[in-house]
Amino acid sequence: MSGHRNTVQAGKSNRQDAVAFTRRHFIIAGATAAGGLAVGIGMLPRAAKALTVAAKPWDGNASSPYDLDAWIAIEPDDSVLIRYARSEMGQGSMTALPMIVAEELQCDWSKVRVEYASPNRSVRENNVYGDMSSVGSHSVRDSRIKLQQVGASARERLIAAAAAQWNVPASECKAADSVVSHAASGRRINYGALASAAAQIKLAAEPAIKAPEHYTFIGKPQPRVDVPLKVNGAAQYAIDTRLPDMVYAAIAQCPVPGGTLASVDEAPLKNMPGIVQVVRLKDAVAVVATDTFWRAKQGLARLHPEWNVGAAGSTDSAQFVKEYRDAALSGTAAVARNDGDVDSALSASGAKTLTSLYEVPYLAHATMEPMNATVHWQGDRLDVWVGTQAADRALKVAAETAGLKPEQVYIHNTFVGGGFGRKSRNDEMVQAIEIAKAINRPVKLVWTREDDMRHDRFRPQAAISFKGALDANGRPTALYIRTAVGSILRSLRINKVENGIEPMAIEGLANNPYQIANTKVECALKNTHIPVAFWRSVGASQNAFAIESFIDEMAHAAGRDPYQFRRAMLGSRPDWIKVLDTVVENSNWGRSLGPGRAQGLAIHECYGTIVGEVAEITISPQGALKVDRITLAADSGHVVNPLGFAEQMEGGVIFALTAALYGKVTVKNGVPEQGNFDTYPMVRLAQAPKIDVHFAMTGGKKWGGAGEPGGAPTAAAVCNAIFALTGKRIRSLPIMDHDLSGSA
Amino acid sequence: MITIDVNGTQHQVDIEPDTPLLWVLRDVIGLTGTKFGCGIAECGACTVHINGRAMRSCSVPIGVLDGATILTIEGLSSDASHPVQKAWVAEDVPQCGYCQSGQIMATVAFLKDFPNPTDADINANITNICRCGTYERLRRAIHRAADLMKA
Amino acid sequence: MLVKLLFAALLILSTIAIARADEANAPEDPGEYLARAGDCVACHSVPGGKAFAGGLKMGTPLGAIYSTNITPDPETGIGNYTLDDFDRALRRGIAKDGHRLYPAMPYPSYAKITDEDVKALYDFFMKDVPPVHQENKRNEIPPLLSFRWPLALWDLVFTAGGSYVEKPGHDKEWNRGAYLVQGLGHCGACHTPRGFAWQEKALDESSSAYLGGAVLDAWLAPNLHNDLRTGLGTWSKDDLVDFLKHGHNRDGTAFGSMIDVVNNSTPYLSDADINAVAVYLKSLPANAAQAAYVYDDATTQALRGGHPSQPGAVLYAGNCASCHGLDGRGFSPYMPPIAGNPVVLGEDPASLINLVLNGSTPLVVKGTPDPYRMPQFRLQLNDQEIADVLTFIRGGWGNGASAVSAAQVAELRKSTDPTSDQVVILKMR
Repeated sequence: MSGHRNTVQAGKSNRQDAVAFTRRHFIIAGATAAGGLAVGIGMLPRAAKALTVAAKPWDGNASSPYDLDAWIAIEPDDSVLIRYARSEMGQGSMTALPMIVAEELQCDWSKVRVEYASPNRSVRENNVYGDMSSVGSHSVRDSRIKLQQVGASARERLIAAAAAQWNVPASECKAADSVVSHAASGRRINYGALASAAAQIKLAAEPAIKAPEHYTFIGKPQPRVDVPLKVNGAAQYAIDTRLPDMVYAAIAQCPVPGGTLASVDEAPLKNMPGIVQVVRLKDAVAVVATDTFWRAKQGLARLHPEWNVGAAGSTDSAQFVKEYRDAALSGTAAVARNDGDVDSALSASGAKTLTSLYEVPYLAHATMEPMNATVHWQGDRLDVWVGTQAADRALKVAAETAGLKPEQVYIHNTFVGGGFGRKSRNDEMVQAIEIAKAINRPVKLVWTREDDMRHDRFRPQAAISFKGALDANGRPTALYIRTAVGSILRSLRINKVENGIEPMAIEGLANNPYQIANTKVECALKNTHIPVAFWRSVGASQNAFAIESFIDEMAHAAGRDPYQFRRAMLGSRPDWIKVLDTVVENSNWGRSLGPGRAQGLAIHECYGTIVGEVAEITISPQGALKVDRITLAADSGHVVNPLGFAEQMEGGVIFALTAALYGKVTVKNGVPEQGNFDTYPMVRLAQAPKIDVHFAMTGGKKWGGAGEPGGAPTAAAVCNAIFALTGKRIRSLPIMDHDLSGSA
Repeated sequence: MITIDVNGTQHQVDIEPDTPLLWVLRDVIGLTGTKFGCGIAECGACTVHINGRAMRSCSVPIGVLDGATILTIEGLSSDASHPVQKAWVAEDVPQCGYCQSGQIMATVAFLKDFPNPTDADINANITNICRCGTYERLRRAIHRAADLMKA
Repeated sequence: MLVKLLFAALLILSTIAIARADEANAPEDPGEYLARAGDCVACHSVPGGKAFAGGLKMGTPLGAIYSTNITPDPETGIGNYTLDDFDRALRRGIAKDGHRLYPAMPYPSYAKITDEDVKALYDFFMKDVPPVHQENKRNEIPPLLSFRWPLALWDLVFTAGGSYVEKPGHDKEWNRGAYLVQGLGHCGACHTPRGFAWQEKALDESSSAYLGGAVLDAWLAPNLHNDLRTGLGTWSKDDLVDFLKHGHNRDGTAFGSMIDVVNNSTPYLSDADINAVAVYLKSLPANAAQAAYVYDDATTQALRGGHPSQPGAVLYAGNCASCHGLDGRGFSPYMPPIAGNPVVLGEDPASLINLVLNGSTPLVVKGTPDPYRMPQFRLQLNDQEIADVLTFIRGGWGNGASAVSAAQVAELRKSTDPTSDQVVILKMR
């Protein structure tokens, strides 16, 4: 499209000049013909001195003598400690949030040290850190103003301290690069020398924070602060915790979720060396061993517990599929949106109508680090090392479980080996606390991969039915959608389902921006005994697949190009159009790819960010599908760390591609069947497409998320490409279950 | 009693011979950089070098390793200066990071056999799972490491 | 509703707890010992069910049948059986009501059991097995074929009749081994090829067909003769003892239907009996003159060199070598070698295809689960890739076995697909 594209694209080899890179080379972002920003991700700088994170960033003191406040401590040597109140699980907020503080604080980034904020301190100091959760791609969105204020306030106190020392008006002083200076007198003083005086200063009024157009640091790509710890084995995850006198526990949980332990015979462990104790929980039995987790696991394998499983023990996936299908096609449902008159439009004479049903299965999170927790219970104090996405919530739950006051509980929020929503509910921590109380010793509980997969809180199963109508000119006149899906809120016992609708269920369906005069969206919430929860992209993980496939169906039925068909319905959304145009331009949409290859397009908005993707695929005559490339454009309004944002887009695509190609948890006799990566396969390097990320930022008031949105359109883009190539419409995932042979 | 050399230090291990090397490294010796991911040699998070070859330590019984030389991520370099580690940092590869010890150890061994790898070589030989989906950068880092090793 | 579910490590039945705890190799109850030797529990139980209560689905050429309840429950089990009734069922295949059992029940082998052992077994089932009230399932043989009277004729033709008689010219140990292998052990049920009427082609060592290896349920039950490449010729008597006691030895690991045998039967035999079985098997002559296997290092060198030529080599390095080694030697006794392994060298690759497609179920030796299991590759590798990698290992390290085709893989993929309605049902255990 454009003659000169001043971009360094991911995937295109720049290796020959990669050695002599400079910061200037890293990101050459410029206006493209479509007006979007294209981010080159070919090379990366390392700051000469990167800021530091300890391998155990939770082990410092919760407070320091050099505290300016709960968030910032500046030591005499100028080093700046920024406390980070979320959870680093790969999504990069341990880098992005301190960047926000540093933007206002005007400190030297290389002198910054990041530590986890203490949830215990938050309890003791009137909830000073507020919400500590990392869910829903909200860390930047919900912390930015607060953290800018924290940084600005600290900066102004440092300036006030210098002004007082020099006896000049604060307004004549400036702060930059960890130095306060007074231009008229030429005096300069380092932050470290001001910190103790600044700590005593209370500002009469909080300073104003910068508007985005004045940022000088936010928006500049920074390498992730935790990376150096993750290339030499130093980063400590919960599973790496080692305590004196610690023992190891393995656990067998009732295979049918919701069941309970009936009995277990301990006799098979009678002569086994190194077994400490068998601990019975309501719905599980644990074996504790002295020296290794392996011994505990081997001991556990000798036991044959009996379970009370109830009626759920005779359910299976075939039944669930039928139930969701029935609920998507008939029966009652709550109305989430009702514009115009869908029924009339669908039955209007001359209308061309389409009907489709889309289906998706349960999915497991399968974080690389299986669920685990280490607990030290000392009667009046409880220490927990756990990978959690919500340390504040974990503290509350731990206190309740242990029967202690919240201020007696210390959650050590470690690096998290993948979260994706699973670790917002720390079932393993509750078990570990119960075991620790029973044996009265420090204990590390580890779930095996099989435990982790079969005792997940899954992405809900769903069936989503569609009806659409086109007029004689191929213009869409009606869109009817009904989703039948598990309620996450009900499963988590969060009493917020109103009028039979929960936001996750209709995300991206009810608020779709396509201008179709007659649009109706219905929601039928339906749960089985299988627990469900948040799973990366949440509702969008199934809804984007369904609606973007159906829109593609409508486009083909109308005889229109899928890009033009969508664009014509987006009159009120220039931001969607910008994303669409950017991805179309950069993917060279519509060009001929040769035999056996095709492109597919999809676009979706969730968590405040619009993401458009074009998938390029190849299908062999034998039916082997390869996704060669995903071109992606995103609009989150603004972005704190473009590098981290791009990484989240890439990761989101791969996560979604695994689900699209392979993801399926089936149930038999009430038990989730898949238990490990051989039956629940993952995309690996061989299946990983090239991914080009382009920015189409629209600025303004919008601050979108990064973790969830990247993968939302992926399944639809791939399936739409399959249709373009083969004429086969994939209406249920995973794609693996469909035979693509002989079609390309 | 089994004697193994781990990162240049001799360890005498007295444990059931069917215990996988992974748990000896993590729980007995205390080297936790090597991770547990699946227990069936499918994911590669536990990859270490045994006598110079990349192996998945969750599936290697300690009983067959008497006299073996083991290299773990902790022994790769004292200051993250191995070319593969440098390439990983330069490409900003890790996200959650949990699989990366294994990815790095697999790559170090791979580059001995494939000093000039193509993408196809990489795809076929580095089969470790990364759930965060860092493959795009991982692939680039492997190429970069190959270049650094020649420099 | 209260349903109790027996839970084993991987939700797959690993061992079935027989009524009485089994601490030593020689239980006080000789009948229980014999029930172990006969592995009755493997067929007369279902995963998650009660021991000996039956219900296991088994395929026959005529249709599926279900094993029966042999607990002493008077209504649904064999509680009303007299010793004579029991004997007739066990050794002649005739139930108490006079109907003839299908020969999925290995009564042609059990016919060799001595009177004394029949009595001991009867006592065990009547006195020590807890009765379970569980109705037998109706068989699925089509009505036209379900007449059982032809079985009487079948029995006349294909059963030898009579208890085992010690063979002169062989010592006590050999004869004890022969008695166990041919009788209670019913090894021939899997390892002896079957004839036109689904009969085992031979019931003792007088025929070379006996234990000559057979494909059953999509597994190749290997040749147990002393052939040097495809039989047990390279295994010493001690190797055999090791295998029967532990489920694995330096050369191999039990898989497929043999897992059930190891999980429930052979490790419970006394040292003397295991020895006797090994002595008997080692006495079987080789059926073919085969050159001994010689390890060829070229394959290892090619893999280490980085650019091996065969398509399967790369797949092997990426998917298999982390357990079986670039040298193909595995980590015995836990992970079997591929180089020189008789199963790899065997003519029919069914077991190899099946293992790569579906992995192996856990081996549990006397309550202790084996630490390692073969993962399945059904979802990761396509037919051509599995064919390539198997062709590579069958040709590598001097193995010299034939190539595997994608069509062979495709066929087994279909017939062993757990979600298919045409899935192979285990016929024999």
